[in-house]
Amino acid sequence: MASTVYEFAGQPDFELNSDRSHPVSMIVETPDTEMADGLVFVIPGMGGEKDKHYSEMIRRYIASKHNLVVVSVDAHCSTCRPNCSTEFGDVTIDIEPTSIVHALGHYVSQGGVVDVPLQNHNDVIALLKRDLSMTFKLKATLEPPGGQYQNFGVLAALDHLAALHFLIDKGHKFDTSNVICIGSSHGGYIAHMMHKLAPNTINGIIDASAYTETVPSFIDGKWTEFDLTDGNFTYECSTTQKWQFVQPGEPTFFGPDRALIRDTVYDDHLAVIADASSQTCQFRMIHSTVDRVSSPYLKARQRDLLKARGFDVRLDVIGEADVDGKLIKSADHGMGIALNLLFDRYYPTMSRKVSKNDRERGTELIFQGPKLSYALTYRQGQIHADATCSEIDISEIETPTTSQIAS
Amino acid sequence: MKANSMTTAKGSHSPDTLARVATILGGELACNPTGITAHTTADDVDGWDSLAHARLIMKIEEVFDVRFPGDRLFDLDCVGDLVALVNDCTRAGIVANG
Repeated sequence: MASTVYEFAGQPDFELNSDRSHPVSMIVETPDTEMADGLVFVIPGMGGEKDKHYSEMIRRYIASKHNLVVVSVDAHCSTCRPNCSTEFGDVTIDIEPTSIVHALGHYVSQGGVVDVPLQNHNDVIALLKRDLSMTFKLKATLEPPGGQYQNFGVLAALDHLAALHFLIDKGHKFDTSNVICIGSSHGGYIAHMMHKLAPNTINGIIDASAYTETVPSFIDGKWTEFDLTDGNFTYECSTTQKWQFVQPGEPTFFGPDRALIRDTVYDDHLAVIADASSQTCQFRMIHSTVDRVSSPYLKARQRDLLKARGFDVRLDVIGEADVDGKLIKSADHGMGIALNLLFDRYYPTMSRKVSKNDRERGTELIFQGPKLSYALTYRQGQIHADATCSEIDISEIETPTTSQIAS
Repeated sequence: MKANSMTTAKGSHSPDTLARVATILGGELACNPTGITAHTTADDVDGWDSLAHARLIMKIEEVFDVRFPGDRLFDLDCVGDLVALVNDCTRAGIVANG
């Protein structure tokens, strides 16, 4: 087996009209055969499965056992947790200055003695870390490498699709009609977004605990997305992002249009996908009834809507009684499922189908929201989709006549 | 470390390889290598979860200069299986980057 690393330019941020300064990296594991049966994107969630050693094991295992090219892509803002491996760069933590001051106030109010000069925030932090019996909560922002920010879903999905096109153009030998995406939690969500944005390109999706739409705490810095513990400090973290919620009309406003393009179960958009696709994608999903991060209700709705649109869908719903300590280690979000076991369980249930992908078809997709229209077009020879986001043309809206108004 | 469970190792394993694997395991998982036997399983050692397992495998490959077959990476029930895999790869000349 051979492992190869590539870098390429990521999909430009067409919602905010900005190019990308940080390249996308990917690691590709190729089986020892002339022609692989297909390609798998292993898309980690935000947790430990992003660990570089674990990722390598998963890639090598799937490539060897299933004769598939296996790819890990460091897509837009994928590296956003400081406690994970740093193979794709470091995530830094910016502590909010006011929270340091608040922590100092808490220290004093609890009887703590200030017996050293405090000239800057580092002096305060050193003081607070002296007494481990006192605990402090500080607000912090996670800064991914290369000035990336939390876009949530769209750019990460398009980066994975660009990675696929890049590998095809590089001449990697695999069945291009058998592209599988596997991921848990956020990784599974990205997999569904890839299908939404390129419905003829993905043959199968395997997800565990994937949510179906934007998780607000990931895009609004006021909420805590992730707790990081360091001694007696707990950092309540959120990833840096450019969205705002107070100025409608600005490109950075995260309004209904932004939410709907990121919603994998919005039926108007599912209709667009179904119309544009040959409905070859097979969905294999497993979800817990007590998942507190990703709604089991919305997951069941996703199953029902995809089925209604003609897709081959299987959702395994598990509860506490299904925890077996092997495949399912808990009923919590993620269920402790190892990706190798997840793949072994569901990949054999999928069939390979001869189908042209979206680049070969020159697929054009238009997803409309209340005010904005998202358009994507795939062209041979281009790794990126032509993607635009523009206001819906109101010139075609008919002006009501006086009699219509009167009535 | 928890009490050892009796798990039967697959394949061959030598005392020398076992001692070296135990030393690596002790270093990676902060446990006493003298308590590790061929029958020791992940359940017997605190902290031997899937991420630690991955780290351990990579470290063993590095130290022994071998590259394990991908399809056997998760097919390891006990330390003895790991030792047997090292010996199999060493005998077969499956070296890293080879």
